[in-house]
Amino acid sequence: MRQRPLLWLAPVIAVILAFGVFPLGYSLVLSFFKWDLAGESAPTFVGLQNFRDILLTDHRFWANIRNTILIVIIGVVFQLIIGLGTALLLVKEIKAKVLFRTVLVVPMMIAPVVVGAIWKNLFHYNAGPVNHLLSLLGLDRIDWLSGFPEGVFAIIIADTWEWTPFIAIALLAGLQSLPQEPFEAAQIDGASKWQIFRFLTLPLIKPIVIIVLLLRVIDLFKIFDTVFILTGGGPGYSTETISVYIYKVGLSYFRVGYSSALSYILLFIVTVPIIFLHRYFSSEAKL
Amino acid sequence: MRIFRSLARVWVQKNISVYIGLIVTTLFFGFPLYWMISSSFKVRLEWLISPPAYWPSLYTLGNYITVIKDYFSPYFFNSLIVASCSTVLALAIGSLAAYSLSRFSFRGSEKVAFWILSTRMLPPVAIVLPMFFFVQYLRLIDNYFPLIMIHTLFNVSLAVWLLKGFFDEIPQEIEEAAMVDGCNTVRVFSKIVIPLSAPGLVVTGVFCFIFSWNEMLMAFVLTRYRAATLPIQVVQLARGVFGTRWGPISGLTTISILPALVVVICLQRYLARGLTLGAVK
Repeated sequence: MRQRPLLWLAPVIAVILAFGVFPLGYSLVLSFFKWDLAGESAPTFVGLQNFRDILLTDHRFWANIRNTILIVIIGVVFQLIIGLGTALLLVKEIKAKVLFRTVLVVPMMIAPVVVGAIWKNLFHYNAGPVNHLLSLLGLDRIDWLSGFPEGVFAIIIADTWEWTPFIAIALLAGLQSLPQEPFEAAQIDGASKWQIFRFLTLPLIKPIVIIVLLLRVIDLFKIFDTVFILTGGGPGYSTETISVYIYKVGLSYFRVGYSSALSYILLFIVTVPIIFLHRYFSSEAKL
Repeated sequence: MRIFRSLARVWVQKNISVYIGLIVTTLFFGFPLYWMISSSFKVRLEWLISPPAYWPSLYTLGNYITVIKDYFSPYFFNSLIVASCSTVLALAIGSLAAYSLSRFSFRGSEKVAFWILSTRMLPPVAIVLPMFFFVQYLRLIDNYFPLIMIHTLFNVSLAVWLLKGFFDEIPQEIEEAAMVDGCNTVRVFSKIVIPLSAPGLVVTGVFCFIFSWNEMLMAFVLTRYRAATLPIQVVQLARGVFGTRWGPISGLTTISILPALVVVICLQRYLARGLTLGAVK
């Protein structure tokens, strides 16, 4: 029986070529042109000028990079810590565990726009519960959505609320699949809980942590919906992220060439963790 | 006696701290949900007051009525159509690809598999502009078809990876027996593998559906009035001309999470696998 994998793969490849590769190729071509649909309508070939402008003279771009990198780094660190902590809590045999897990799972399933809307209300300066809680604790109210850096933290918190459960659930599954014997042996040998955690648990869940970390890094670089609703980029562009900027330049200002160049820079950035993920997956496969 | 007391103290302490940790965590993740739901019943007076009304003193269903009457019908059904179609397409296309990646060993199958996966990580903004031009050129703005295909693009990569994992778990003996009996690959696929992997198909379908249901950017750019989906309604309520309409938006957000909620409660078991693209089973 001759296998013809190409036949089976043809539909997928067709979809990806038509709706993924083709638009990307078109976008690449566009990035070498200066084309403002809002002004003169003739596209002019400028080679790498767009890229040069972005990297050398665009303050807004670099502000976006700063915001995006802050969101990625702080977000991932927060989410990993809280997620791991939650997973460790859930691993124990507790009654009503299912109830906790059910509540935990809901935020991930909510649309990022909806998450943005919920937290926009929660972060309201006067009427939001967050500031109310702060004032009850004797702290000053924070103007969360008013720009850098509060706005960026608001975005981080909203995203953490939505996606930490993802990390918790994945790590929980990982923890639950660990073999018992090493832990029993370690306990018999008299290892302290901290030692067990540091030298046994952590190394054993490293594979899952890495996958989860890479996935989250990639997703955080792409963040759009939540930012769009929470601050829209903030007053001016103080809380803007790269995706929002690309969108505005392309579909609000209609500076098509510039927007395409920006999107390719984002693609370059996102490719890095993807390459790591690939290396990781292929090394896993070889095991 | 002292030993028992100190043992009891340790046990209580250990479990209590776990309970406290879980309660705090549940509060953090649960409170915004509670807030959203309770806000949806609030009267306009209580939308924005300080201190906030944690328990509404006046109840109303007005928010829901506004949302359903004025806006809901088209948005909800559009979301339903787009999500269903892209899910079905993703499952169909994805299962074919996943089967070949799972059963046929050919050179470069790993690379192909990862190439398909990398599609899911593509930032939508990178293709939004070209797609907009393309769709506008074809006069298909505000039409279901382009949106369904884009959602299928993102869903199919997830589908391939999840389904490959599910197919890998089905023992090959049954298929081999069938082939000895004279079935060709296609029949083996459709009559044996698909029915056996029905739970996997359902789980994958659910994840695809939720992704499509929640997707905003493409829908926002490629639709206007007739094909607009639910997330667009959220955007309109949040960034409208008159500022944010808090009441209706709480009603809408509460309604919009219902399908996901139902699904999640029924499919708890498969969540870890779905989220990590099959890396964790």
